[in-house]
Amino acid sequence: MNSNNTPKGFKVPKGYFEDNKTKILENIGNVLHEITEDNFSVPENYFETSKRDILNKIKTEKQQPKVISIFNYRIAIGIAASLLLLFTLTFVNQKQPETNTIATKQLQDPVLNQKEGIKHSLPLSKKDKMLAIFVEDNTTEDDLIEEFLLEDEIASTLEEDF
Amino acid sequence: MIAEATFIEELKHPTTRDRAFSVLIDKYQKRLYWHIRKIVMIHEDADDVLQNTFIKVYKGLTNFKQESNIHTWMYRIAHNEAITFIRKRQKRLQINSEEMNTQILTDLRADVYFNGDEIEYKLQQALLELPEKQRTVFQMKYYDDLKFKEISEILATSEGALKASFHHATKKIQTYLTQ
Repeated sequence: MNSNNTPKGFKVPKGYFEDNKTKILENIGNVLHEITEDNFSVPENYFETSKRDILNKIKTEKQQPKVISIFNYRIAIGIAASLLLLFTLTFVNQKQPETNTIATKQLQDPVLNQKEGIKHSLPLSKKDKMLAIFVEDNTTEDDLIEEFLLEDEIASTLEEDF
Repeated sequence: MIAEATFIEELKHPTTRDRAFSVLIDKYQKRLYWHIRKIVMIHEDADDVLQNTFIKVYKGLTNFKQESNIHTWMYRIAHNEAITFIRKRQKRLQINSEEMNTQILTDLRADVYFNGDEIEYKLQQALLELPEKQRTVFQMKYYDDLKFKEISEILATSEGALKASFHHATKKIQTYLTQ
């Protein structure tokens, strides 16, 4: 035998082994086909009853009123967008004048409106808020007394000079 | 081709639809049933999938664009319905694909409409061992006797890729059965 396993003096048609391989594979398929079809079965008169069942189901489906789902994603997005717009218009527009009012008040009278500033600051406990009010009030009073004394001292000094 | 075009017109027209649909069932239900049955294996499951397939076909007829022939289009619906059925069942049972295959084989043994012996059972085992695409191509080629061109249209895959899948499938089954 030579390197191709072909006995000396023998030849095979060109492409024989490739064709043979295909034939073998096809035969396997045919055998499998026969085995399988024989071994799977259906109930007697199945295809007649099945046809009737299919047609009945279709008849039932046709009789049912067509339900159009309103909750598809486009509508959902539309609703969400509308709610967001409504929320924005309601709350953002309400907050805007409030902020402006505080800002104006503080510009006009920054000391007296410090309480207002505390009220609108980040959440504080009740105790903290009370302390903040007293601390702010005391500071203001001291400042006023100090200012008064300072002014009084300046006035006395000026009187002495003249 | 002209006959099919006329038939499709009848299927789409409200006055002739029901009669034409009855003809359609007669013509294709066996072929579709066996295609489905080879995927889901159990008769009761195949029956459910077949009914759903025809309902989908009926509902989809008005939108059928005739880009492929009706036979190919129906096969695609049946195939997708069967695969979806298996996946839904797998999800419901919360098991992986290997466990699903075991489940199918267990159900097959209990199915009164399966008369296979051990060899047949082993063949089904071999088929279930194949990747989904290889198994599908193998089944469509041999059991349904479809041409590669038709399979290519149904599965939207190139003929070359299908031929390769089919070759691998056949070799694997051969190896599995001779082990």
